[in-house]
Amino acid sequence: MKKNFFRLLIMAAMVIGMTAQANNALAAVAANAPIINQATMWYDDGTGLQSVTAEVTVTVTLVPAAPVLDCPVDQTSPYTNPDTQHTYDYTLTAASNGPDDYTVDAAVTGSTNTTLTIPGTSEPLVNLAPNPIRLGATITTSGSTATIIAVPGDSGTPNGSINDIAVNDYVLIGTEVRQVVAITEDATATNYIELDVALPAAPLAGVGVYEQVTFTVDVFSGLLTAAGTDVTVDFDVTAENTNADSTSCSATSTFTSGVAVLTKFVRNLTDAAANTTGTGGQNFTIDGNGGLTYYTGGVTAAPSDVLEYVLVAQNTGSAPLTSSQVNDVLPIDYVDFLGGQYTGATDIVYQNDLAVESYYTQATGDDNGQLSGAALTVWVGTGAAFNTGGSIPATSNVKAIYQVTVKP
Amino acid sequence: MKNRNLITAVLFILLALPTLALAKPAVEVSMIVEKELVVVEDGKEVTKMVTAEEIIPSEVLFYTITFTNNGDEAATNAVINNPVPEGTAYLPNTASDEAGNVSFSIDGGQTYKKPTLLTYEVTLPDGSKEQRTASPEQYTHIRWQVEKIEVGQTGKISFQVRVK
Repeated sequence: MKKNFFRLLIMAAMVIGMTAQANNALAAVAANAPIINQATMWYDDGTGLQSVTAEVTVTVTLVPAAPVLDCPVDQTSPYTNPDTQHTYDYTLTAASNGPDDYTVDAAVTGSTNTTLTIPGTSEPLVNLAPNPIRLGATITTSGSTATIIAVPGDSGTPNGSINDIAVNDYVLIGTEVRQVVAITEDATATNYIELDVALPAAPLAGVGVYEQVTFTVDVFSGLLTAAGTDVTVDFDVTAENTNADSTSCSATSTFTSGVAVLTKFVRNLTDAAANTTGTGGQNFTIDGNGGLTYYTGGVTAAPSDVLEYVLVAQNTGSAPLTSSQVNDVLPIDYVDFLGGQYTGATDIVYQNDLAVESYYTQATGDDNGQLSGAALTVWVGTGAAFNTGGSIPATSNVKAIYQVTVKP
Repeated sequence: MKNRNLITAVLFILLALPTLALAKPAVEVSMIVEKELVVVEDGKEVTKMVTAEEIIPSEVLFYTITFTNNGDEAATNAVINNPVPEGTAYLPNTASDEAGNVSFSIDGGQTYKKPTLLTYEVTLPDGSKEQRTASPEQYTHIRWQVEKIEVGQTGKISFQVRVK
């Protein structure tokens, strides 16, 4: 009797040993996973060992969790028009133990120096289709390798995905992101997710496998209210699951604005005394001559006197001024343009924002300066060329200088 | 007359033989799984046991296994094995053990012992070995032994697990 009993136990242990699975890890369980419990009884009916089994299955439900949203850094760029745009990249990652729907939204939370009246939109545009988006998720069971991830079945008919994780999806496992290249489905048994690149190590049971998507949000400047002042647009991007668990990112778009201030200075080079009544004086060094003061008003002149003009184009704003050119119309009824006064017998001096000088002629097409009738034009700024204006950096200035003779 | 009695006796034996040959135990096993549900009745919160069809991680499942001998002979040396379901952890001291006949395995059902005897060896950083007592979460199987199930006898065993 005793012998038979031990034989029975050994046989039972052997059967169990073949079917048992390791179950040591303390870990979460994926939604939709079937928890199958099967009890087996062996007994001796006198003719040999008999067995009967009983089984029940319970399905794990979804435990919603707020998604993970990777937030981008703030962006800054010059304002060019009301549709000046920043595009932000976001990554949305599931965090529940199973598939869930996530709605992404963006909204302006504050702004300065803008009407935010943009043709077609006045709010940030979320570029995510479809929205809401369904993200899959599951939890590993035991038996994974570095490239084949073991997960529970999702209790459903095989449909090309395991808890909505399908081929070509990107998944986050631990800290690693991988693309799914194949899946093996079974409603109740262990399922497998094959990755494109091996993980550093095979994950233990209980590690989340979370689908991840990327999307962009376009933020617009709106219509600039005051030139020279930054436009700022504060906005929030929020991702929310079906349980209203949400995650937000705040960011600020800054659109810088340049503004030009043109000031005309003059000095009477013939009669120094004529400058003594000048107002708004400022010293300039021109073509090697320093220490002379030029004035915005109050300078007098007599016939045949030579006057030198300094046109200062200043960018008092926060963004570069582009396509910059300085135009001046000479009062030719009273003055004659006086050429050949500068280095190399040139007619016009140009000082860039670093006070480096260039010398131009009044001829058309040979350089960045020309006199056409009474109209003097100098194309200024970095990158300027004949008939092409250049860029003047924020808080910088450039100068165009020329001379005239007062008609007798 | 003598012959008639003999024939009657032989017939009786022949009729009785199949009955004697079929006498054996027939044990049936069934299982239910329940969970606790708190409901409000008459303004008071009452905890009820309900059949568990769906479960939230970290909830507790209550398994009850019922066995009945519907045969006409006692079943002997019965053993009931129940692997702890994947995705759950056994809750300590929940396996019914009225006769002190329950034991556990931590090696996938290869061996069974009482909880205090369930030990495993770990290698420490210095290379030395240490014996540690297994925690209930490490149990992989539960086993009950029932020496005899009488004809018509019904028995119940139960245990609880927590969903991970």
